[in-house]
Amino acid sequence: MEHRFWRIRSFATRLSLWVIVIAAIILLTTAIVTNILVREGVLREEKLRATSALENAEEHIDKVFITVETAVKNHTNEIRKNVNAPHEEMYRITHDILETNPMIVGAAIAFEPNYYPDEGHYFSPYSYRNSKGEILSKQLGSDTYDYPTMEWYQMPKKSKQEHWSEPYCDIGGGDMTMTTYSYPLTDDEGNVYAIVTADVSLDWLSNMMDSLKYYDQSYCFILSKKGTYLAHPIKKAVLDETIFDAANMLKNDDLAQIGQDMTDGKMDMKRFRSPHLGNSFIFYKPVIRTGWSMAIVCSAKEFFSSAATAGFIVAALIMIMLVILAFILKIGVRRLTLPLTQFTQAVNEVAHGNLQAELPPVRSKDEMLRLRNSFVTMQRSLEQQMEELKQVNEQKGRIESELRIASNIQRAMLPKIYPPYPDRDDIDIYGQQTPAKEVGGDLFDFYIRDEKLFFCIGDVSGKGIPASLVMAVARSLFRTLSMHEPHPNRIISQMNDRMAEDNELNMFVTLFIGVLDLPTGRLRYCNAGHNAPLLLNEAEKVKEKTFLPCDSNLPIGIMGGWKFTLQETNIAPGTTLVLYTDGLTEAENMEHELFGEERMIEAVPFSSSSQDIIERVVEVVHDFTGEAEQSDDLTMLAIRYIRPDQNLLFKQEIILTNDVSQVPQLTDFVDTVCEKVNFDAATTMQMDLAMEEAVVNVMNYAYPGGTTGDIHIVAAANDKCLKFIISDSGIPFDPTMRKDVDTTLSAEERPIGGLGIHLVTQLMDSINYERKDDMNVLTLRKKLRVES
Amino acid sequence: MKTTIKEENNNQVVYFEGRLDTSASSQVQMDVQPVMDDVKSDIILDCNKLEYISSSGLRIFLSILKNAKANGKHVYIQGLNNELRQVFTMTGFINLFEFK
Repeated sequence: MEHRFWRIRSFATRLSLWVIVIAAIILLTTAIVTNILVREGVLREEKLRATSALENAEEHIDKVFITVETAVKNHTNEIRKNVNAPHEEMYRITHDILETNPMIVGAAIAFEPNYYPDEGHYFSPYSYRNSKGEILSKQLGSDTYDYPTMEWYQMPKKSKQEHWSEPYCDIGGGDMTMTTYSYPLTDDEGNVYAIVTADVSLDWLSNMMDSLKYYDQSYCFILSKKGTYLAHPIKKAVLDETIFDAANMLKNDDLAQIGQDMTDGKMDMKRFRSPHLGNSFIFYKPVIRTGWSMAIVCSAKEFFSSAATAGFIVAALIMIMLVILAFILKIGVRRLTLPLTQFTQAVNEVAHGNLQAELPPVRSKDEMLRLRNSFVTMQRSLEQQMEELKQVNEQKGRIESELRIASNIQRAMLPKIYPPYPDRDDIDIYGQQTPAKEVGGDLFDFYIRDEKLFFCIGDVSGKGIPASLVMAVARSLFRTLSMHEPHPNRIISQMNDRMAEDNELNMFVTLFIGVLDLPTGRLRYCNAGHNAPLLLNEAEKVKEKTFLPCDSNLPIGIMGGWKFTLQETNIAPGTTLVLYTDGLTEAENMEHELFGEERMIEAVPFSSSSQDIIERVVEVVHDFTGEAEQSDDLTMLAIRYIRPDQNLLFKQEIILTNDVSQVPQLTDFVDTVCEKVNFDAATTMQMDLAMEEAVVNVMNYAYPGGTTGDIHIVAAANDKCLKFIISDSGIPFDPTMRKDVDTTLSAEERPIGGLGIHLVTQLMDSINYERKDDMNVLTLRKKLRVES
Repeated sequence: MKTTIKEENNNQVVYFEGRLDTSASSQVQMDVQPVMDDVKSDIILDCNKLEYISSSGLRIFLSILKNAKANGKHVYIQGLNNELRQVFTMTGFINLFEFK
């Protein structure tokens, strides 16, 4: 409950609750204290009232007893005077006493034994009222009624003072509760000679006590000196039972204590458990004259009923006041904290981006105003900061977007369509680059020109945008220079010269350029400080992984005019060249270990396509680096050289001499080949033309000035391509190096020659020249199906 | 390969018949020599029966054209089939000659 109280979200509600709780505590404390005081007041009041009632009762009892005493005393002189008169006088006197006071039911003058010798041992004239109210007289003393031994006679005689006897039940005189007043008569010597008595009925005591009952639930009782009940609402207890008997029977110690106090003549008020009324108060007071004690017992409940009513009214008032207080607080606190609610709304609006959110007006000059001023300051400073942030973000966004564009441009520079030559079955290439940043400094490229695969891989020093710019320059230089230059060392030399110029930042590029002659598998390459490519030789029965031997040349861009060396080797079909940048071998894991060449060699799988090789290596590298951040660009290029004669449909050859009169034989040969691959007449004519031009070229230029020699022509076709390989042992002659004719010139300007090789390049899909083993090898290709 | 020269409507008409390949070109070169030596009118090269032409044949055509132009005469080609027209296109010869 308390826990939940603390979780109330509204400040107004919590404040109201606090005020109400405190007010309730104060009001309830006041009410309880007031109630206690009221109870004490009531008690005091009731004590006074009870005391006064008891005093009245005592007074009443006194009065009765005084009249009795007076009646007796008034007759003592008469008795003394008539002591020696005839004895009948004494009867008249007792009679007179009864007549004087109606409360007296019997009176006697008991003389000392043998006082009148003529009357015998006992003489005690006695008058009494019979049941009809008539006063009769008789002589009381006899042998059976030896009065001198009685208490009422003995006590006054001994003390020579008047005496009230213990109440008793007069069995003979109508079962009445009686008490007897005795007055001793003394002679001149002071000797007691007679005792005058008056019997008084005590029945009126009960009536009187009943009249003292001033509460519905209360009763009164009177105790004798010995604790015997003289009056009690339970009539049979009267004279028959003492308070101690009752206490003993009820095992009520309080009652026994009260009995003790009462018989000791004390006056007090006590709280106890009454056998009749339960939790009660008792007031008691002695009757001094008789040694009795009177008591009033009241139920505590009834006693305090007025106080309880008052308490109930006060509690009801408190509740009403609390409800009113709560209502006032609800309105008041809401009004006071209204600006807080409005501030909350305004701040929420601010949080949702509306920095101009209106703040509630505050007229008072208190904390609310200060809060409002703080909010205004916050709004302004937020607005300012948002503006600054916006500008920074715009700039950042621009830079990022430019960087993204740069990244796209750079990616566009790299070959990205794989397989790049779907209609070629002699080569399988796959390259992949993962830059460490948006743009990288690695480059790779490849393309086929004249049946030669030109390819390169390089790594620009540094990273990021500067490296990417150099990479773009290097890549376009490669493309431009290799377009007219088949020798990689010359391409690299020219690139080096260009890049070394104005290289103020000393950026350099490690670069590997290879030129693979596809028909023959001859690889020419030049390595300018780049990692040596890995060779996967699967051509022979022995599978092996070796590094391509590379001369140590400088990276390009460092020193213009450096002589780069050319290297050559034969690549057997089935061999794969794996080129990579140091981003692979120097990839780091979390423990800063390098991936290294050994792991790379191990990762490269045999008998796989280029794509599988690259993807496998990338996977192994990623497993190795794990969560570590990629520190350098990772670039790989795999080139798989496949036996060109695979899937060969047919192969046919012819040997001609260098005599143009052999052209018809050539045409017949070409026609036969074309028929086998189902070329139509038009294409067949084109093939005739292209072959005639190519062969006549060889006849004219490879064997100049009347020299003779053979021309070996092989025609081969697979399902994709028809290929003619024209080889001769003449002087080196590369027809592809001839300048192409300008077909736009006018008749006057057009040279007579140069048309032949132009027609060959126009008619064939590719033309490739390679000088191999002192032979000129010219390869012409024509695709079998034109891709629609 | 057969080459015939006729006079028709004040024009010299050269009829080519068969395959004009390199092996035939030297003969054809000789056969057309009359229209090179004596340019007295416009020349029409009739290719209706020409089946094939290679660069050596084209060179003959070009030398005829250059010679005629030098003498202020025109050279027309007629009856060129589609396959051969393509060769003319590839070599840019289609722009040099006038076609009938």
